[in-house]
Amino acid sequence: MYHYQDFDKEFVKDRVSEFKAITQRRIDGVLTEEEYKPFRLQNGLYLQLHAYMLRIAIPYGTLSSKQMHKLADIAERWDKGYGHFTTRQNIQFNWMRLQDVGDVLDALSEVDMHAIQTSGNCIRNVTADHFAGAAQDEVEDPRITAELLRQWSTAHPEFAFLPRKFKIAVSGASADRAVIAFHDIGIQIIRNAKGEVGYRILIGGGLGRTPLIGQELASFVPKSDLLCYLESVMHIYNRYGRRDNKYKARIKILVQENGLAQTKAQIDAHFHDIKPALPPVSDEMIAKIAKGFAAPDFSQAQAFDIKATEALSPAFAAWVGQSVTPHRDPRHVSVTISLKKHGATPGDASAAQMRVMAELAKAYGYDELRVSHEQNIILPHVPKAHLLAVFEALQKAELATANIGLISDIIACPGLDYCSLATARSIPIAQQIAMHFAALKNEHDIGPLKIKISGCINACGHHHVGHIGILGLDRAGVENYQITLGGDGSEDAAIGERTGPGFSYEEILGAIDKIIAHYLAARSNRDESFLAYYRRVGITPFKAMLYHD
Amino acid sequence: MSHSTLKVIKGAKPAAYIVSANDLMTGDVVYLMSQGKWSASLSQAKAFRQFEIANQAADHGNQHHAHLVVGAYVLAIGADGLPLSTKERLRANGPSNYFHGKQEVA
Repeated sequence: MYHYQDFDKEFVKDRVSEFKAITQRRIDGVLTEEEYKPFRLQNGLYLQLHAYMLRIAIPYGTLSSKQMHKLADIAERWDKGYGHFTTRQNIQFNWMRLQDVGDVLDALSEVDMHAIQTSGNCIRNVTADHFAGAAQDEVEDPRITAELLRQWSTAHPEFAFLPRKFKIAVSGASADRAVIAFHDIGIQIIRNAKGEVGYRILIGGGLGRTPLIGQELASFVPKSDLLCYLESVMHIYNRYGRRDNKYKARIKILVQENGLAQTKAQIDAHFHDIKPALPPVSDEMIAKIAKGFAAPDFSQAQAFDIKATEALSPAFAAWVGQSVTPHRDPRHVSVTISLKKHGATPGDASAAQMRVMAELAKAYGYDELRVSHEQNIILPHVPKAHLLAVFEALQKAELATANIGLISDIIACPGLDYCSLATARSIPIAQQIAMHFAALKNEHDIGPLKIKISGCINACGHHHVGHIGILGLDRAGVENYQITLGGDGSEDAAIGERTGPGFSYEEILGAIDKIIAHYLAARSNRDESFLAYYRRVGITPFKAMLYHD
Repeated sequence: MSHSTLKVIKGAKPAAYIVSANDLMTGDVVYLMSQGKWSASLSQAKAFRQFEIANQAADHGNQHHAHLVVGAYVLAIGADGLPLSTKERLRANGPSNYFHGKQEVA
């Protein structure tokens, strides 16, 4: 695990003191809400429908068991006993009281955590592949680069007031599990023909009201040039990004309006201007960070045949089939813990569940946990010999639903149940879909399928890249749900196509049921996934079935 | 100024208007009562017949109750006294995903 340096610790403590002092000025009536709001947002504190919400950064989704325990403590002491893991690999607490937030930030600082840059027009929490350091297809652990970027971007004075928020994701593998094509900047760690490791840079991807797939800005940036290159990207965005209209202020709009060639020319020119003056990223700097991400000593684990234990229980075998991912060390696997029990709120974990996961990481997982952008928790390194023990503990905590990658493993934003920006509810739709297909007991038959639900056009639920996407809108005060099909957040990035007019809250489950029934009846065989079927036949049969049958 | 959007369910006619905000310290949903105080209970909200008068009350709340509440605004209610938008019904009742929040203390 990477540990904060003294500089980071001091910085976080200073920010907590500042937060407490300024918040007290608001409570005392010295500051108006207009004066206070930008400050609280810069510290991750939102005022939502029912209460204050505190968004806590989990850099590249990595947590130690100690940190997870601390989150459990916070949930229990200052919230309603649970936390909500988000699509940005962060955690949100939905029921904060203003006078408690300073104490919560104090508690977080004890375990090197904070809420800085989880809101506002700055570079947000840098996200990464949740299987980092464990994936078989990895060129390099992307968290080393993500941490470098965290250090570079934290409190960077030039980028504190960008035209709009800025999101960076890093993948170290050929398979994209970090949705890099839909970030302002997506970074893929690659090896070039000479065998050198460097970066392929994508620019201008994003979801929201203008979904766009990122375009290749640079096919190979050497490691030593990364910060200088990104500094140039940010400079050009800061200089030319629109500030007249917040809906056109993301870098994707700049790239779209000016074209990739012009944007690239501007960035390259600035890069050449500043490169002589900026120190390169040194090997020593990288090595120092990399030390914090050194792989655990895997050699102590015994070789083990999971098949032998699978025979013990069909439930265990089903869970292994969905929740276990091969590891780069053959004695280990990565375990995805489902936070999607049928009927539960996607991404929510109780304090008790957080503690169970923390203890499992400590006992069987080299003290590491990850948050995935799909709102599940990962134990990245689990010796195969301990898999049954992990399963049994998860089962007792209602964390062993065997649905990873299936129709009930739904991403859903908080939606209108909590979010002040939302226009419709998302969570109850996810709950209905999960319960419906759980009752039919056919989700394994349906096979791999990603449903993603957003409660407004801002697309925090990533609906554009759902194989089935659902977007909740407000139509004359009533919730209405549009369906998109064929979206894909992987390396085969695609934006879903809208089927047509939306459906009411009461109708949307029936529409999803029809889509699934059609797919099951029309697929060429069980091996043809929903997405493969959609890519073969297109949207026409779905439209006909939804609107004309 | 208040930020009243007055979204109402299609076809529904506002019977009256009320003023809502969030409590500064807890963030709880609160409603303006008759004596200029704030209550967490929708049933205690003061009903205004005219939008303009309600809007003045919301502006007054934002100017003079800033130490108590955040973002006072006007919303429409029907003859049954319930808000006419889905969002406001959720604010009044609490989240619908499971029983917690405002429902617990009701």
